Amino acid sequence: MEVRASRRMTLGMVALALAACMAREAVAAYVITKQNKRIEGTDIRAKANGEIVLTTPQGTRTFYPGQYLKAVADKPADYDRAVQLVNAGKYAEAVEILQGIVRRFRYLEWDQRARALLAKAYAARGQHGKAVDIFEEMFRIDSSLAENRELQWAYRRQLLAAGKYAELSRILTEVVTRGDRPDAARAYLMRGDLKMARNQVESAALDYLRTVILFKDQEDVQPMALFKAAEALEKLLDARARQLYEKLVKEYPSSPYAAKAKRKI
Amino acid sequence: MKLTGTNALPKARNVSLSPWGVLVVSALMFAAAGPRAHGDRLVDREVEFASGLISLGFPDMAEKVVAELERKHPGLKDRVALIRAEILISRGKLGEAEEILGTLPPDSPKAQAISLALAAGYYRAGRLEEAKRIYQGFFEHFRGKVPTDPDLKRFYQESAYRFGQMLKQAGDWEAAQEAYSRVLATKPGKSAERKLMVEMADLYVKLAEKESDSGKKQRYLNEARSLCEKIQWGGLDLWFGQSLVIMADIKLAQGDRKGAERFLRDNLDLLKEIDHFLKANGLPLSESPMAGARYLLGTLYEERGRKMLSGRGDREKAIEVLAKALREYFNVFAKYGESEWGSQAAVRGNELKSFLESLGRTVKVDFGAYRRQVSATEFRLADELFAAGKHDDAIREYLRVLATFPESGQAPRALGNLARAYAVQGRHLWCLAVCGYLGDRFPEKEDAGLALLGVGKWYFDRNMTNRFLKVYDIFLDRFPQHPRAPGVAFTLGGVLKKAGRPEDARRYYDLILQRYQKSKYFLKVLDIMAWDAYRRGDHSNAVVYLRRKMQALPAGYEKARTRFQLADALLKMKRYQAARKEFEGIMRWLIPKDSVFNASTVDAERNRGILEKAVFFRGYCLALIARSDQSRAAEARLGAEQTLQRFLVSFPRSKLAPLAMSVLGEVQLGMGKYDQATKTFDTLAERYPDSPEGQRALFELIRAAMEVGKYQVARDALAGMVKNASKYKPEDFARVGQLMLDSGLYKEAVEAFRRAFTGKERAVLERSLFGLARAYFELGDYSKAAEFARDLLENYPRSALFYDAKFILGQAYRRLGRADDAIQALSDVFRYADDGVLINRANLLYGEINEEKGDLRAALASYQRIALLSDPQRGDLRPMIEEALLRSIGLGNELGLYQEVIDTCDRYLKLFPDGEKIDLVRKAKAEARLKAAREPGTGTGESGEPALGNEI
Repeated sequence: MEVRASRRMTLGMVALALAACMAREAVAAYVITKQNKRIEGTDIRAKANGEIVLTTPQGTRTFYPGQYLKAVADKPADYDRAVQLVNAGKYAEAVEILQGIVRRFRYLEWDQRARALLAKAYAARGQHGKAVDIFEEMFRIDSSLAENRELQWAYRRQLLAAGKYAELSRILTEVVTRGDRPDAARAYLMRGDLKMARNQVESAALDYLRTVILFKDQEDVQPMALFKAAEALEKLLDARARQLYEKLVKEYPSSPYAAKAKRKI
Repeated sequence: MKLTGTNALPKARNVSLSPWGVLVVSALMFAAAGPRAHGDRLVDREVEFASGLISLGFPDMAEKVVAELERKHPGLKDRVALIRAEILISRGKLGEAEEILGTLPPDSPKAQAISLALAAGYYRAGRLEEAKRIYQGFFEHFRGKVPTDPDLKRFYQESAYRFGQMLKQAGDWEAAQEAYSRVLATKPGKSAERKLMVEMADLYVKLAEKESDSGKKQRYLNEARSLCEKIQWGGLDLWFGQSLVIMADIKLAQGDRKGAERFLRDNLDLLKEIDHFLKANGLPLSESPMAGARYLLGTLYEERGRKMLSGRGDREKAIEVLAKALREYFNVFAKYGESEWGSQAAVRGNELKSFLESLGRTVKVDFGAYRRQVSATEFRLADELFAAGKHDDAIREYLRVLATFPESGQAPRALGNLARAYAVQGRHLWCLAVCGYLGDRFPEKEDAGLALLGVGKWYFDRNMTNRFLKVYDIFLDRFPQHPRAPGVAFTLGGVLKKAGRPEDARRYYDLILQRYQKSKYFLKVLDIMAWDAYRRGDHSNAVVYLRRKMQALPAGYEKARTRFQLADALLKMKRYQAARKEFEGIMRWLIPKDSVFNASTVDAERNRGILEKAVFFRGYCLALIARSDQSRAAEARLGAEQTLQRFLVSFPRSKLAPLAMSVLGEVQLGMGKYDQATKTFDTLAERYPDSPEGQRALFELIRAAMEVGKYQVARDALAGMVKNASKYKPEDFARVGQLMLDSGLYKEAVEAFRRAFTGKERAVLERSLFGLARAYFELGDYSKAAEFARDLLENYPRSALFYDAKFILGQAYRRLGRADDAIQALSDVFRYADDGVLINRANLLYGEINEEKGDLRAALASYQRIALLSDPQRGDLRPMIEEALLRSIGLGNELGLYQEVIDTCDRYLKLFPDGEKIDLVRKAKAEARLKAAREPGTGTGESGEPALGNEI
């Protein structure tokens, strides 16, 4: 049974998370008001209650929660180091730095960026429950992240890895029902993975086959769907597994899954 | 000669429901559907999914999806009917699919969808008339109109085209034209249009050839020409090439053979271009118009050559022309073997070759690089004959081709068809010979295995059991690793079991257990074997199979259930410790909250039931251990008490709760906890008054007390019953009386049975009368014993206790010294009984009575009756036979009948070589021999003494 763990969390997730948080890096402090006006400053700090105090040439200004859309500080000095450590696989050191950034830059944009990296680090260390918590904190702070497709999938992968099946099941059902076609196709696949984790092999096979049959237009996921369906059938000792492996090899010969399937035939 | 020849044979049909299976659903289900709610969309998706599963070859999974859909949405019956029909059609059960169709309104889109799926199914099965009927009905519905919905339109196009193909094959060209016209009317797109125009032009030529009216004929040919010109104006492609061939055909139809020949030769270069195009783009040459052109050229050359030969023309020139024809034929045969002309070219080429050889010519044919394709073509002709049901011709062709290509890639399939052709002809020995050959020569080839399966299926479908067994045995023997082997073995096992041949079935099941442990049938077979063993009481074997099954299963409900069955079988074998361990194992599996056995909610729900039973039975096993093993009784009772108390707390509403309480009471009695036990039984009666245990709680107390040897408790309980006699029924007292009797408490038995007399129920009264007779007998009151026995016999002469009563009466009379009355009582046993045990028992008693009377000879005669007339093979009679022999020896000695003693000893020694008295008997025999030697004439019968047996 294969659990799609966050060890596969891609750099793409990090990049997207970063993009989700901020369009461009700040070189100085600024606030974007609710009227979408950008107010530059020389210094900025956030209070525990979410109030932002921006120092401008005209003096200090305070923005209360609800009055601003975004408040951005200068990049933390140790942020780049954290990124390097994450990329180098030195997760323990990275976590320490990132936790500090989250604390110090709360409400100031860099906390969200740091959280994205923290989630990756936790996932890589197998601390999936913590990764889930981080994601959920991110979504609480910025509800627009609900629209971030890749981030949502990264979160769902962590839910699966952390064994939070009930919550994941609820989410996937929602995506299957209301999501667009690419998302629905992936949701069926992940639901199949969830069921495999719970030893519901036949039900998992059906979900994989749903992707195969109902989402033929989603070609990027077809090889995986075929392979997983075949694997599930193999577990059920169903001879038709071979038929699916052969179909995969014939229709998607250059996919890495086809290479795996060839070994099975 | 014609291009689109009358020599054409029906071709193999490769119609598939896919992807139209999906479109059947979507087209007709969603036509004119408006925006749909999420829930509806999901339902639509599931319906589409089920349909897609069928197309992908998973009708069994489609059934599950449909069942779940129906469960969640009971109002979806009609839509589900469509999928069910598709499933049936995919399995070839067309009749059952028609039944579903019959339940739907005929005009409904769903009915139409099923109709068309059915038509495709009939078409695939070769049932053309039925397919035609359905298509005609469908198109009647669309007369004068074309669907505009894109899905429906596509579906309409596909159906019309398929219908046209079917009609064309059946030779109904006009109707085929009409069908193609329908497709054209929908404006199907350039490529499809051009293909259709070619087909229609071809049909016009066919119609012209058939037409005798010259005006009509010309009209058809004009139509054909007009279509060809249209195609040619449309560009240079495959259809352009086909149109050229049709143009040659038109000339032929007009009688212009030379024109046709010239036309073809002039356009060969153009056709070669098309061939190059096909090769360059990796497209099959079977589509090339060159095949038809060269075949036609071949026929024209042949006709010319033969005409020249029959005339006075130059013979050599004629032969040259024929050689040209031969070249054309073999070219088509070799290069375009897969085309529709390939097999015809093969036939004509071979015929022409034979003809030339008959003229004394040597014809050398070297197919070179095309040899493989040629063999495929050769086989195809035989296949076509076979598919057309021409078995004689097919056999002849297969034998011919196999002689040339005995081990080519097509050989296994051809051999399978050959075997089937023999089977159809009733030449079963030949069929079997071919099957054996297939297995011997092609054991590694999967398609050889499949070929054998085809033959087996042929016999299977006709219920020719012994024949299909032979074929499948070859398959299983020679193709043991074939993917279908486990399924075949399993099916055969099931068929034989159903036919009442369990031993034969077992052979196949054992095969699966030995060879196919990784197949899905392995567990199924273990299940079957375990259940069969369990049902016939062979719990020992049931345990073996269940253990294996349990080991093979992954964690989940099924594994837990199997372990429970294993524990139950052990319990039936009275292996209480082993059973207890299994129940404990189940508890360890299922109790933890995060148990992997409860991964799914469905499994968790079902496992609760098993856990409940496991806990109860653990306690029960401990109680049984306490009963049967004194050395462990204390420990076992403690464990039983704890377990059963826990059970009652955890599962108070369980159906087993009353029984658990009853067993708990028994255990507490055994532990000496009398007050607690009494309280337990009181609670039992109070809490579960409607349960059998609750209703007879006091009885349960008494039973339990007897079980653990606490007789005083039982007596006290009885006293309590007597004190409150009005609360108890006569049968309660009768039951208690029986318990007392069985435990040797005769006084108490008398008391209880006397109380039972207040009732009127016959069974209770009979039981009570006998119980009293027996109890008084045991108490030494033989008069009363005889009195009650007599009462029973007089009032209930047909009682099941008749013989028991007679024996008691006889014994009582004997003890009262009334030997004659005793004998009289036994006489009814002799008169009515036919059971050997009863008769021997009576004889033994009779013998004893006679001994007491002093009539030793009569006694000896009784014993000899037993010794000589009873069947020593019957286990239940052997103890009495042995007893009778020993007594005979004693009496024989007393009577001085030494020869009889010797004979009796011999009989004993023969029947009971390991008997306990073997030494005594040997000694008795030796002594008798000595005595007989000393007193000659005694006991031999020759001395005049009456031989034994005369007195019987």
